[in-house]
Amino acid sequence: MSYGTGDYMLKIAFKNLLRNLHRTLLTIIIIVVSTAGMIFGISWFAGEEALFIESGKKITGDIRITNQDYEIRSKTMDISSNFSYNNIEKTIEESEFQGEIVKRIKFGGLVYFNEKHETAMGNGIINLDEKYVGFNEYIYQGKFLENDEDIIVGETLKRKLGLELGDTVTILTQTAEKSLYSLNYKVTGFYKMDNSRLNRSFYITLSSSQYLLDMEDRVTELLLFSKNEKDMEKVYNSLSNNGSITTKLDVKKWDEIGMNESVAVMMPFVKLIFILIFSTLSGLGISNTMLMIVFERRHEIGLLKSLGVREFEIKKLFLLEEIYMGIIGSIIGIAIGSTLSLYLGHVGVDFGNTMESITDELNLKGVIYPMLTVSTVLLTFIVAILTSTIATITAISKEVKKEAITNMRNI
Amino acid sequence: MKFLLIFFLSFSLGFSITSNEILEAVDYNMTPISVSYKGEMNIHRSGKTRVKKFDMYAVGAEKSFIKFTYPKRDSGTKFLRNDSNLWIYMPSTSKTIKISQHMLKDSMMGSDFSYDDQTDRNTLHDIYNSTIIEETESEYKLDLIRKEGITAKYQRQVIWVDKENMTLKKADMYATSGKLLKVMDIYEIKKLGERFYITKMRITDVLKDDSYTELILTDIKIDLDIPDSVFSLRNLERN
Repeated sequence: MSYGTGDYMLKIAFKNLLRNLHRTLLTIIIIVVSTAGMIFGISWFAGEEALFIESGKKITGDIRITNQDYEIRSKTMDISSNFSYNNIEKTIEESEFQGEIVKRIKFGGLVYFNEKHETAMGNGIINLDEKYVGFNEYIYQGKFLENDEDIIVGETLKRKLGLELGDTVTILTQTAEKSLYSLNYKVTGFYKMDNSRLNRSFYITLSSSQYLLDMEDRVTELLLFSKNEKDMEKVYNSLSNNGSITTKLDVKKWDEIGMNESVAVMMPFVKLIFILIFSTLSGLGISNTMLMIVFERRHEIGLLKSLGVREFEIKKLFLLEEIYMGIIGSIIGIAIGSTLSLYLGHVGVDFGNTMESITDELNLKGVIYPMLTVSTVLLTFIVAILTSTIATITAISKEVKKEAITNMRNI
Repeated sequence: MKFLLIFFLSFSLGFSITSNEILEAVDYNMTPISVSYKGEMNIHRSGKTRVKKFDMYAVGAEKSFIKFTYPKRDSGTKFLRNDSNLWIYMPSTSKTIKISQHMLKDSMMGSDFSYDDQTDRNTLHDIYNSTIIEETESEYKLDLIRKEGITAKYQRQVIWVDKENMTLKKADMYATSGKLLKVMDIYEIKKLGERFYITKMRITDVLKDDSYTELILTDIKIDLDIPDSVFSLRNLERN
């Protein structure tokens, strides 16, 4: 005996949902919470990943060339780990690199103003860094560096020294040869970055830092910002296979540097674990309610079977009920999760100083902007429907296989 | 003069000399009442040599004044030491900065001498307890351990003293941990009046690879009259 046409089954399935509205609502709520949680979670990690890549690359470029002992020495701001860039630039140009080369010097120093002084991290940068570091976004007063006498100062350092635009500060530092040297600079701008530790530093022009540190034609970092991924791989292979460079220097891709490396490897796993946790929670919740539904409707299942309805059709009926709930729950969950993700993606979630120690290490900002994509919505929807389908099949299969009389006796 | 007379007399009469007497004799030679000289530092790093020149004035153990004259980049940089205080004046910023105590052990102008090495003129016998650990025909070898409660550049020094003129021939400087930090070799001694003064030496930083500084002193004048105004902050900032 056939249970009926597809339309008829759909109608019965829908009516069945209304038979126990509380339970239907409970199942839908579980799907809503799981779906909203999953979509927000994935958007959150996507935002963190994008932020990580963006922030990481601002610091390291797509490819970074340094001295081999740079990672150890740079922790103490030891600029003796420097190198001459002239020959390397030629080699890079010969490798048909399509992008921009950025040279930087990071150093430590004392900033003097009137009777006050503060220890700070200094950076010698070129004009391109206005774009790559993003100073157009960070400078809130004054302007970017124009002359070798200019200095731009982080918000915290400004506050500690009581600086105003136009003030003259003295930078005292140790040169590459460990000699003390100082120069005066005119404050032309103040910036505020998301990472509060960077607000205790200052920036001067590369040429000025080279003079201050007695490092003519030398830098601590040479960064390559490529225009496309393929080009980056080609240049990386060309440079890392060049013996004259690699005997003295380290050539690394951005995701091979320090914490970048471990986080880049970790991110996809974190995302996968997140999806698994939410889909398992959702699956367990749906399984639980479906088991209750099946348990309560054992008599009905036995009756249907004794009337000649096939196991497949009974499963189909329950699946249709679940699919109704799945679709309703997923849509509401996606709507809630998406709205939350889009809103926070717009305003950002500021972790302020609580993330300071972590973000400083990871080169991440203290503000995270969840990132919602179409693929996230589709993935969440598919996972929600799949999870609830598997949960329903698991719950119904055992009961359907029993004899009709067993079902009807509620055994 | 009186001190040397007693020393040589006791030596010739066959009295055994104590380690403290040796140190006092060394101090007598190394720390005149006042001194001025022109110094040339040849700073050797990884196969490259940089030359730096300066004028030095010192009175007693407390006061010293150094003015760098070469190269152009460092010309006009001045250091003033008064007791344990050290100031640096940099013409590039026309600013005088007091160097904090913890920086006194840092390299001076990129050389293997620390600020303390170059400006501290405290006498060895005031700072260290000494023991003669070896004596040959030509030299004494002394072990110097810093006295309790005294602040000194090095916790321990082992020095070789030339018997003939009671000046240093060599010194090994050790950290509190017992690690050898620097080795000083003396190449040339000149007799100036009644004192034997070191005029050429090399200091090697053993913690660094291929790093040493030679110091050559010329135009040395000892026990001269240097006015107090030389050792003033005003003089430091004067062009």
